[in-house]
Amino acid sequence: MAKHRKSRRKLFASWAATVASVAFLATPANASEADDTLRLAWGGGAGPLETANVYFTNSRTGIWLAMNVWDALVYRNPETMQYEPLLAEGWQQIDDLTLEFKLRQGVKFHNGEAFNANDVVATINWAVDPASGVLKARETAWIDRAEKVDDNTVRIISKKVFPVALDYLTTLPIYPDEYMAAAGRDGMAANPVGTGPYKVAKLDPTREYHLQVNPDYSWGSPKQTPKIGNVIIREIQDLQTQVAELVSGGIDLSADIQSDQAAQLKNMSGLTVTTGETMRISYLGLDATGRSGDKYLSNLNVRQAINLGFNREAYRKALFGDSARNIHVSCYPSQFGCDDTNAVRYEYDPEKAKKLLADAGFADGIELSLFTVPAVWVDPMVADLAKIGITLKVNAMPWGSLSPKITSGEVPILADNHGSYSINDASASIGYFFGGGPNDYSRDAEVTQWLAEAEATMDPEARKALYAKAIAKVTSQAYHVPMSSHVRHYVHSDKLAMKPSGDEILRLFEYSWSK
Amino acid sequence: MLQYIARQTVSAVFILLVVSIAAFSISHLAGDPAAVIAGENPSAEQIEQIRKTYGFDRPLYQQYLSWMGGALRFDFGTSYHYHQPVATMIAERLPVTLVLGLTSITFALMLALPLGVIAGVWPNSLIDRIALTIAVVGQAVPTFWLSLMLISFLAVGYGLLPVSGSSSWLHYVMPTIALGYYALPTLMRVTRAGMIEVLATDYIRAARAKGLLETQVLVKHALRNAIVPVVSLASVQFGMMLGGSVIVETIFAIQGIGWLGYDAVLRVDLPVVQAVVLVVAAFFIVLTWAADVVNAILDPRIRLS
Amino acid sequence: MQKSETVIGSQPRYSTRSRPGLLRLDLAKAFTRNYGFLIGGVIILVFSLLAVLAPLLPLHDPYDFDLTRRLLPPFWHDNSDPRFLLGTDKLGRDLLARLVYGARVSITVGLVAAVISGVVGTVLGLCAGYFGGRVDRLVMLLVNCRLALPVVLVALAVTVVVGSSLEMITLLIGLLLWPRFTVVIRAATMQLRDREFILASRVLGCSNWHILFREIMPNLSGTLFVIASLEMANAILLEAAVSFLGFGAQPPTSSWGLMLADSRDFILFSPWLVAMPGIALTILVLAINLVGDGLRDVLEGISREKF
Repeated sequence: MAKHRKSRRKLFASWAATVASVAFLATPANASEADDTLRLAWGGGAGPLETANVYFTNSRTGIWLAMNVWDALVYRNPETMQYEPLLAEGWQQIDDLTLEFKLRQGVKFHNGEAFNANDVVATINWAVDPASGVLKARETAWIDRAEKVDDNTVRIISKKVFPVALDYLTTLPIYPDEYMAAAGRDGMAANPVGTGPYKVAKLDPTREYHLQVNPDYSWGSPKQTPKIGNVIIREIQDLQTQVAELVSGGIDLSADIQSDQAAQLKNMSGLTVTTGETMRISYLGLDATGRSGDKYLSNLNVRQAINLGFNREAYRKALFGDSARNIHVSCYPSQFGCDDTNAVRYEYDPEKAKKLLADAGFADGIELSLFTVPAVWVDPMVADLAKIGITLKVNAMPWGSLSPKITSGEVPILADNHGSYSINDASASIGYFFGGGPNDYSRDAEVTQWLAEAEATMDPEARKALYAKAIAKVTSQAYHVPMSSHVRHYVHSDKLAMKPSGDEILRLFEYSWSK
Repeated sequence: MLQYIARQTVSAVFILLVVSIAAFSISHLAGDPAAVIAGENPSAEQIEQIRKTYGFDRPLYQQYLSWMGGALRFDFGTSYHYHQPVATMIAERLPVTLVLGLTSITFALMLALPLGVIAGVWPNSLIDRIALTIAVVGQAVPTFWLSLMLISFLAVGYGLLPVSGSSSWLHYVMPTIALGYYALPTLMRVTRAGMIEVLATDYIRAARAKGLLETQVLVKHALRNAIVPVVSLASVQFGMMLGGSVIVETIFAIQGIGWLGYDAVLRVDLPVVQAVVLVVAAFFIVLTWAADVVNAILDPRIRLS
Repeated sequence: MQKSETVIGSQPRYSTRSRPGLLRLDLAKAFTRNYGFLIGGVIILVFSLLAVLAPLLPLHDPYDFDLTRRLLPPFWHDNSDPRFLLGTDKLGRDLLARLVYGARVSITVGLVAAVISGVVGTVLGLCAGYFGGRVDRLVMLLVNCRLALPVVLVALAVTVVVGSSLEMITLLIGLLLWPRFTVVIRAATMQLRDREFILASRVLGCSNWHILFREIMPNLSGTLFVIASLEMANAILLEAAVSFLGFGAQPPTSSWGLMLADSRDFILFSPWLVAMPGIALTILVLAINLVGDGLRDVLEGISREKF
């Protein structure tokens, strides 16, 4: 008690001194370099990874694990965005529906099993089969089946013309067929086995992942042979706990820290912040068809007023700083087909917004209801829109509750972000938002038609033209309020050298101890 | 005696039954569990398919009976989000929470008993005042705030303890303080009240009259009687900690059932939520039952009343 | 099972009707001598006045944000801004104003939840104590069931399914915190049930309703206040905890729990953001508990008057 009281008094008396002492006492990156072990925390804000069997999760941390422990047929170079051979040595398009892959030889899984065509065929066909219950339906929906040609050749046959096949294949890790048959789904979750640069050495019940370098990873993979021998991954959901761990040297790396904290941590001795823009974009989805029962959003003036009345630049700056950029249409600029030259731009102009509302007969103000998850920062939207006479009623709820509401069309305004599943193609953003799926609130038949055509042709120029038309329409109709790209801050020990990537995937095999 | 125990057992089973209905009904309060499981972008057929697979198309009482039937065999179905048997997940995470609960109640008792006894022997003394202050403050400090303060002072500020995790006993120190501090006041007050009450009885006067040493009187006679209600209260508090460790486990990144429950709530993973509520409640019921029985053995007056 | 419901020192030792004149005098003296009660009372008074008068005070608008003045430190720091005495939060909102408006939220939640749980708990307790037998057993079963349920988890689970808002969480807390009322009121009612004045009313043919609410209830008001204060404190803490986890008050409401949730990530760099709502919360809850303890001590009689 006495101690507690003293600390309370101290709390008040010398905050400045405390903060200074925090900075002074912080000696991050304790023994990590000495024992060649990178300590990493993940799951900040998102929660634990549900399973190490990565076909049964859509979590970002699952994608990270997959990248480091498994290999796919194709690798997408995070810098050039070009496709490079990974488990496949090369490929060719046999016809509109068939891709043939020549496989690499001499590759071994972590348990010693040799990699060959059987593994690819078994993995793909298993992932495509609805009976296996994998959660990669989005990534595999285009695949009809995989066929073995010989021990080192496989063919993947699509259901329909699918221009983005290679990109999707970069997200499908190849499992060892014999081990899978023996261990089953739970066995794979308990003892994951892949071909990747790291192997899972230990996965204990408190869900700490111990990764160890794969000594056989020397067959010329475009992913590199890891330079750091061991990685320990801990799951920490609370961000302030992650910050405390970074400051006290309990962990060497977190990729979950928000901008404000990153800016502060940057000033601490022993810590470095590397910031990178990501493919993830923020947006407001507007119920233009009135499915939710909202009376106002079907009015174009209201939708344009929201676009004009929300200061998205100030919001982006406050939330992400200058590493992110504002966008004018809901897709990420590097994505194929995401060209915003045709987009109608809405610069911040509250007066014009007010006038649009008055013209529509809503001079006295209207009330709209916004749904989101608690992590989204809504206060600036509420305040900005209040200034033009729009009262936003906020309903923040966890994704599990929100998701069914979106699907059933009960949400008038959705504040959310979308990472395009790291697919570098507008079909994963524009197509997701306006292609007639459950997340399509505008339900514009013309746009849906164009987008369907864009996904059904292999001709790049035709696809670009179709996306351009769709972009012009959805922005002139103000179906969305496109906000900005996101950034990810990688806060890490000075002794760690790493680089960020647009797809937000931690490529641990690229990291090294700085000299 | 046996009759008393039997009566308590029947009542405990009854309570468990009602609680299980309450836990079960959480998932049916509103909305369509099938739509929740389907997650992003399901089609109507998918939802219908899920409804069939999970049996949501059956009448409620049938769903309850099969759920409860499973629960009795420690089978709580499959997690919507984790896609593994809920029972396995609980079995994996329960030990950590039990350890945390035990250390916390031990911490609370280690402080509450001596302070309560001294306060009871010398009411209105300085120690009594200090003990009272601890009690009043302990009930007022929000656990989650205390946790944050502990992290920033003990772990970050002075670097004395690891911030989070559960890989060594040092990791348990701060969560134990945070969780135990809330249980401390009640335990101490009951100890104090018990001591005051016992010390005023003829029984103690008789002991003193026999010429026993004061310490003997206090330890052998007074404390032994005063501690009876404390033991039963402590077991109840222990039961409450298992359900109350949600915030502490999340903040300190301890993978116990508290965090599991919180995570399951966030993801609307209803089988896990139901199972965690039921398991925690069952622990509580068993603990209170045990406390009642122990009490009855120690103090025959109870079973006669 | 009842035995383990430990509700400390809340059984009335006497009927207020038996010695009215003496009591008033004793009470006044006892209250003024009870420093805890006095201190707690003054704090509550100050907090309540601030909360009620908030719109009239020379405060900033608690919702007015300006991203150009984010995270300003409080007055004891060098680079503070005199316009914002306690500094600003991550949106540039005035912390002092938000704290004061937060008191409104906490006090309202506490009061409403205590009233709801008080009504539910008292009615159940009166019935159980007065009628006894099966009614009593049923009520005690309910009490034990509720006690077995983990409050925080159930509150989270229900809000996640039915939707979270300040109103919802208040109602929910009210519906969760009634058992203590029931247990204490039941015990007190049992003691009163066989007293002469109750027996007399019964002989005179008064209805059960009349006896319960006109004869028994007035005798329990002191006890009721004691429990209500404890439960109000609990309700405030619970609301803060649930809001802290993101399931209670919705932004931009200035609830202390939500303020803590919003600022928890700043704990190492702008510690006042976390310290102040926490301290406000602790002081208010402490004050309510002190008043509750004081009330109980006074009602318990003069045996421990110096307490």
